[in-house]
Amino acid sequence: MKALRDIGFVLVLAAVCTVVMSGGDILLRPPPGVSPEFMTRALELVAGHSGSPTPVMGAGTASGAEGPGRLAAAFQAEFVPVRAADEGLFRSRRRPDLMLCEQDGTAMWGKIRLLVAFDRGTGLLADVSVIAQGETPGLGSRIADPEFERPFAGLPAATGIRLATGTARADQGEVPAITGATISCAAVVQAVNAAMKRINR
Amino acid sequence: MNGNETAALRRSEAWKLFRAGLGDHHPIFVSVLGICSTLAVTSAVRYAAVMAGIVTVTLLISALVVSLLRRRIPATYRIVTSLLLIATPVILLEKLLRLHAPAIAGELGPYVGLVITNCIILGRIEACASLRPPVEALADALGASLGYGTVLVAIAATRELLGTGRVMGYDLAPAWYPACAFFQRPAGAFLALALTLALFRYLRGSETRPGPAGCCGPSRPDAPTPGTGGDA
Repeated sequence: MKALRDIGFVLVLAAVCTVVMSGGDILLRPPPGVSPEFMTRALELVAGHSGSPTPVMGAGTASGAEGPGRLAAAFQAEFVPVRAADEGLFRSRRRPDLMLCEQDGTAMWGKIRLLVAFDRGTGLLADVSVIAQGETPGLGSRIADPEFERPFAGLPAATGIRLATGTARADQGEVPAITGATISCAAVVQAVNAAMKRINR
Repeated sequence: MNGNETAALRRSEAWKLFRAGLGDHHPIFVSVLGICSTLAVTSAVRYAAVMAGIVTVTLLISALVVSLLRRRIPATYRIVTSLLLIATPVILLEKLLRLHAPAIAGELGPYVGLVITNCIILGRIEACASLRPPVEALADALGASLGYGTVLVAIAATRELLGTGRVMGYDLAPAWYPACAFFQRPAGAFLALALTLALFRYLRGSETRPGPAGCCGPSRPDAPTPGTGGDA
């Protein structure tokens, strides 16, 4: 009888914890649509292109200081969806050749999320930013470092890009890998190529 | 013993438990627990501070609930129950972090979720919260988490300063200092932890050693022995 009572207690406790966790999952779910990091980075990108100073990400940017509503409004004023069926693909209102894509990929420890900006006029990548990742701190997480992201800008990407095995040749669409984080780097390249397919579709 | 004496004894006991977490039973320096996260999230002060905050909140909530339910929790299922009560706040905190600070959540990666298996939390719950009344359990939890948090931030500050010459975005190193990127790598984390541990032990001397029952006096016959090392 005592054993049954004990099991009953644990089951009730498990049920209560499940209800609390499920409630938290519903209440703390991010709003649908593109992520705030994507919108923030996209606005920084066009601000940089237009010559105005680029805000520092994460410190008082639109996502933090202005709130999600104003961020979404600023984003919608600057970008327009390309296709109704593809909610992660946008075109700049001011520079119609500039295409922006929010692209997910799978890396070493799970999902990564990228912003891929492509200039259709020049056929070159305008920017690649890793906006969400959960890779090994100090190794794979370095895919989000500017040192890794910077070489993507200016790469010819209309037919895809590659991860360099030796010295990276930018004119051939190659990017240098990070030593000790090849899988994470390859995942970024794969995600960029997937984004390019969506842009070229 | 009258009511006042009992209350005073309780207060002094709670204070003793709180201080033990910062000194005699320091979770990192003495018990050598929670080393995985200590090494993983100390590349920058802000990540270490967030991690310390998550561990503190989780430990306080789970210690309080376990302490309140300590007479009802069946001994056979106490680990399962403790894990449930730890996992609930951790999952909620992880979701909160992903919603409001996705960049930091991304940088901390799987280590926020792994707080569920953090030995410091399970250890304090097993050794103290499951045996003590709520005030003492909370004092012990606060001491252990503050001890963990301060060391985490201290190691992160050391690594950030030596590795980049900056701390929290402020240039603290002289202009001639060549930033030593080694300290930003996992091997640098080991070295920084070892140096901090050695400094702590040197400053404290070797005269103080934790007792076999930890700081919580009465313990179960099958309770884990503190000070034997471990991880998660």
